Amino acid sequence: MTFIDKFPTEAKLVRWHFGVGFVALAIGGLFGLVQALYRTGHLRSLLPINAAQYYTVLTGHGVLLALVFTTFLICGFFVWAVTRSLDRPLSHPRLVWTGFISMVVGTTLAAITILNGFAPELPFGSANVLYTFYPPLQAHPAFYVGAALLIVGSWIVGADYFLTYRAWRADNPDKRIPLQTFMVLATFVMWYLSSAGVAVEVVAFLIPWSMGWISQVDPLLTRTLFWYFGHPVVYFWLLPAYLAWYTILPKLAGGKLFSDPLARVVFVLFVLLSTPVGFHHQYTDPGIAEGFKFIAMTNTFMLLLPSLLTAFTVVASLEHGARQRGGSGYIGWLRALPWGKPSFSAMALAGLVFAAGGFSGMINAGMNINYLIHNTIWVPGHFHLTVGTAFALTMMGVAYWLVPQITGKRLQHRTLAAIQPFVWVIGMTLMSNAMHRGGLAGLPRRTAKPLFRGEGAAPFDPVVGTISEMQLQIAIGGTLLFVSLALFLAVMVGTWLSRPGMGRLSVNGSIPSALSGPADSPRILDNLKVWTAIAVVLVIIAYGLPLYGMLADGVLAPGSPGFPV
Amino acid sequence: MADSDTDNTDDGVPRRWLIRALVGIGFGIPVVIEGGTLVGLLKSGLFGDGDGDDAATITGPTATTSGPPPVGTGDDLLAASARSATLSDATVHAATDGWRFALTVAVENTGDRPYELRLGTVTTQNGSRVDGTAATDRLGVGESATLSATYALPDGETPATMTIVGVDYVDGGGERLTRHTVRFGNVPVKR
Ligand code: HEM
Ligand SMILES: [Cu+2]
Repeated sequence: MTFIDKFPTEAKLVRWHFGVGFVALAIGGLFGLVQALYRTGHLRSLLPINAAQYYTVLTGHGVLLALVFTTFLICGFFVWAVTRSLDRPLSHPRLVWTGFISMVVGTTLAAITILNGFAPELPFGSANVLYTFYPPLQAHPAFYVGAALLIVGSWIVGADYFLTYRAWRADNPDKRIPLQTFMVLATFVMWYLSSAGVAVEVVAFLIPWSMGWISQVDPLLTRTLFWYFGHPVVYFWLLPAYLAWYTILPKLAGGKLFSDPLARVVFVLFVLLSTPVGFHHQYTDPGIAEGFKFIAMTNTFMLLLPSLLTAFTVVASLEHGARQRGGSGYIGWLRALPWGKPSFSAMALAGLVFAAGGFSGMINAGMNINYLIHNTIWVPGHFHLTVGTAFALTMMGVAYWLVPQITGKRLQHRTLAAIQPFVWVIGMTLMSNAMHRGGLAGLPRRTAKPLFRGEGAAPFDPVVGTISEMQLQIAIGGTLLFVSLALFLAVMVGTWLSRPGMGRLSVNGSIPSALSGPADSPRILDNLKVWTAIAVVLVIIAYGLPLYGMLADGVLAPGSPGFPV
Repeated sequence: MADSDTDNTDDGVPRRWLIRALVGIGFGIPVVIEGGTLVGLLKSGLFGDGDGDDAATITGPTATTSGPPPVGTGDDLLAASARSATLSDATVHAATDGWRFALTVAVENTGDRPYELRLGTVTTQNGSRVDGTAATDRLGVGESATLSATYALPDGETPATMTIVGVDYVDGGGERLTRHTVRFGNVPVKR
């Protein structure tokens, strides 16, 4: 029985979350193309923006993709995961609708302030503060209120995952938590713990400051609160992709998950280690003792472990699947994987690209070598491999498989869908490779200037290639990415608008159980209360003293007035 | 229930060649690009001159560092001559009705003859040229003046160079013109 027939209310919720997320993806992706061309100086005169509006576009791109698209997709995807794996409807669907509406209102408010950069006649004021909204750059209060509503909305949605789990537990006192639900709950434990930081930043400091109720804020304190949330948020994006790789991908490959216990261990490690690492984004910030940066670095390198475990488990599961399909040989089995199936190829390619992103992430994480690439375009090169591909492309793969199940309609334009993930990977290789090389040469991120004519290029020292050649590669890569995105959206819109019952629904939503099941692992793994408590202790160790130091000299001091942009 | 997801075979067109081609270029292009980068890194790391750069830097379009050093606010535009002309402000204003480059120069006639300074054409980073007409009055020895000028730039462009002309009034009524090209460092863009 298809998901939509069994759980119509939940299917509708997933549809709405995905729908809003895809609109954000479409607009954000268009902005991405504009940026890629503008900042590299290609077709610049055809673009309808000037250099000051570049930062409007950049803010829109970061906010719509990294904050809005991700949050809606995750909340919707998790509704499916919880319902399917507990095999029961949500306990309070109205609560989820409430959260959804809060997120939509928040997104709308923030979007209006951002678009103000193009059309000052829109209500409120502008918000060219980029998606990190660092003070003293100051946005209109509506931007911060919108950000807060987005986060609070996700908390409300998340509450029902826990309530539904509680209802299930009352009926099933002795069973192990189904794996997908376990992953959802672990992700949200981490999300509640970490997003509290940005909520405090926005509600206690930025909203009063932008309203004029307080005259200054401490930039170091607010940045610290931001990055307290800013690293775990990357795992908020990544863990849903892991959920898909662990539970859906092996099945698409024709096999089964290799080890359920290993998957649980991985998620527990993320609950513990995701938050006490935020200082690795602040290596160059003054006012934080080196020792705490060092602790953040060691924790970060420990976080490699669960990702390496994931690589092992997922690849082992794929190999199992391929051998079931008749694959053989040491690497020959790779050919037996269903590369023509877009849901599979999107997720598998996303996983491969993520491995590359992990390597460049190790450079970012090293306290000394970070200085080489800090604030250069290397950094966007890195995170387009992670959130921009590992998350985004995986979710496209999920959509190819799930959207038929939540709409009851057959996937349309299958040839386009089969091509799309490959175009994405080629575009991303070009763009990200050049961004990494540009970063090594010192090319800054977040700048509207092409920086290769005249003296702008003098400080740059490319190791491989030339600056203008890299700029061209970024422009071509960005264009291919946009083409790929358009293909994806065409498939989605075509499927959504197609008449129901056009042909048999060829997708099968069942997920086989793991080769090594949960009974092979100790029960303590499922005790999220214990892991939450340990996570809180680790946070206190990592953040207690430095935060105390920042607060002791006055909560708002040393402070800065706002610079409205 | 058979656990098969026959998504890509049940529409009758196996598309085998298409998938082969996709996998080929989908993996081929990344391998070529990343492989090329790796070779480049190794070349530079093992056989480079130790500065971290290679010949590409010198031959590429990036190497335009010759000429006088770039100037910023506070610098003397006539450092190489006996007169002084200090750039006291230089800003690009990105207004909605167009981009304007505004600069202010404090001129002091530190020479031994009457002197006049004229601001000429500004060339942008993108190569557009905008003419200017601002000039000081004739300054006696030891006199000073403040010269302000505004240039309407094409949207999105910032100044790269400017020509300035110094006029010496020689005894007996003649003029002697000296032309300098000033290179700007980073000029801030403000809204
Ligand atoms: C059509 C595909 C895309 C293109 C062409 C593109 C292009 C770019 C470019 C050129 C930049 C660097 C701008 C600068 O630093 O000056 C950038 C930044 C960024 N991109 Fe993308 N991108 C794409 C997709 C994505 C996706 C899918 C995500 C996340 C889900 C994403 C997240 C970001 C973020 C967070 C930034 C940093 C913004 C900032 O520095 O404030 N991008 N993008
Ligand atoms: Cu991080």
